Amino acid sequence: MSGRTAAFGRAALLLLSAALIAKLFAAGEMVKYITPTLDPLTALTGVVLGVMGAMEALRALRTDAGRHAAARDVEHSHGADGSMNGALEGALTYAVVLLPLALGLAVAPRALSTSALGGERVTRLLLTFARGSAAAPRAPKPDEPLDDMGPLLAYLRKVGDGSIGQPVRVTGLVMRSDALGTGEFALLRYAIAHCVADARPVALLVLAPTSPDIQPDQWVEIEGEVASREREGDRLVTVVARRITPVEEPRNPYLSAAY
Amino acid sequence: MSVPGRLNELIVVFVSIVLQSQPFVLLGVFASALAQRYLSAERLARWLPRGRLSVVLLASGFGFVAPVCDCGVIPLARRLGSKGLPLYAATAFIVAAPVVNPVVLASTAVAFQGDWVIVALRMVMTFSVAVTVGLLAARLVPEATSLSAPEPALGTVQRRAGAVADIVEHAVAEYFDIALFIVLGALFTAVTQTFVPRGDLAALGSSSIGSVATLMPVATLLSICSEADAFVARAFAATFSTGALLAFMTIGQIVDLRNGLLLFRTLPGRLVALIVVVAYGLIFVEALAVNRVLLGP
Repeated sequence: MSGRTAAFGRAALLLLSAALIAKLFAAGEMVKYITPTLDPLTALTGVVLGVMGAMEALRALRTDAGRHAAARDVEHSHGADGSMNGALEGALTYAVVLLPLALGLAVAPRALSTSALGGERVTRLLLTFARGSAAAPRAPKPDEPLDDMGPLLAYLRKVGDGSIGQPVRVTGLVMRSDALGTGEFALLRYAIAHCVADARPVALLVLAPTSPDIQPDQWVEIEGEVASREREGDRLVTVVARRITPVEEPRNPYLSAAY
Repeated sequence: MSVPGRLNELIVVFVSIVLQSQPFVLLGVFASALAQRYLSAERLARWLPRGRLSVVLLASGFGFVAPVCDCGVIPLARRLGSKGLPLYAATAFIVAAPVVNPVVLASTAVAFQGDWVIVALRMVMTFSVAVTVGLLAARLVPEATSLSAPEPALGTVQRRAGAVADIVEHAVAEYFDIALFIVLGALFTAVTQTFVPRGDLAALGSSSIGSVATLMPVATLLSICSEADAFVARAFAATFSTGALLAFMTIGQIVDLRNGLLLFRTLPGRLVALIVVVAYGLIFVEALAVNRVLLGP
């Protein structure tokens, strides 16, 4: 690979990285990878990668760029005497760096499903009321409508089992298990701090009025009210469902880890 | 293009790790490029204290001045090495900086809801490994040994180019020198996260010793960023001991799959082995000591 070709290759990969970030923002897909709280940092990263790519391309276009870049490749490669090893490592680097860029540009990402639990038992994931927490004598009204899992978790953290009886509307993935009773299933969401790689599951027990004909991994919206169920010494946070509606995957399928 | 379940998870985790690491990699390569342009070997020599212990202590705490995570620490360490920072000190910096820095300690405090004991113990455990590794490395490698960084052939160009072009040129060179290993590490981590059954591992964590012994390799395999791992550790709090959580947050930033390849490329093999052995041994003992104090014998 000539020095000039390598310089153009570096420029192309940097510009492609910037293009991937722009595409994910434009398509609303960035939330499938990274928490929205990092959007400003990610956008800035895209800009910096784009500037780096443009400057590398300009340098490659300069009259003496070929000689310059070739000299750099020779010193740069740990191979490092301009040998076949250096060229091979350079080619391998470009091919490997291209892989996530191509996947990110080509694949329409979906949220993690129940299979991402890696075999963790449903009963270990179900949310419980804190042990020994006394019921709040008069729980304050929620600051915001309990219209999704996030606000519900924040409210539970604030008032504990004082939340029992509160009407809620929550959305999540249906998760079934032999350890759950008839008419019961778990409603799963993942919370992320930075990106999907640090996702951790949050699950609520749902008690359906009838045994619903809903497949595992189906996104559903549940309207009902908060209740408590005793199970093996734990008091499980339970949503007694009045209505269960299959829905599309939400635009942002992940909760903030702050919950 | 839509892909089936497990493949979707593999791709989403892989791409997310690469995307999420980019700002921190850029921080590292630009810090390296700035050091290349503005920090002379003579100035660094003047700043370094006399005596190995002082140098190691300074390097171990340097993350407070240059808060880089494990994605960005290698470029900066190599550049400081090329300016004359001894290899043993650069090694201590590589071990400590991803945790012993204000950003990570603040995120740990947020994740553990202001539990400053956890924050302090995490810092102390990491610092102890860095200082131990640094001092042992000083005995293992010759005093004059240092790291080298990729050098663009500037020569005449350097005189012609402005400061910004010079810095960007160095940053691009540094970026592509580590990109292969960052991406391969992300791929290995994504494969591990997708296919290793974590449920079985969690079942092993019921005892004081077992919980520590279980979470340490889990941290190495998961390779979660140092600014996010405390949130994952908090999720383990109901199952694992406090010592195990601290071990998870400490070892995961020192010995991790994502940056392991880069570490092997940067340091001599015996130093990498030293880091692995000291980190696993010391953190295991410290985590058990924490459990003993908190949980009793």
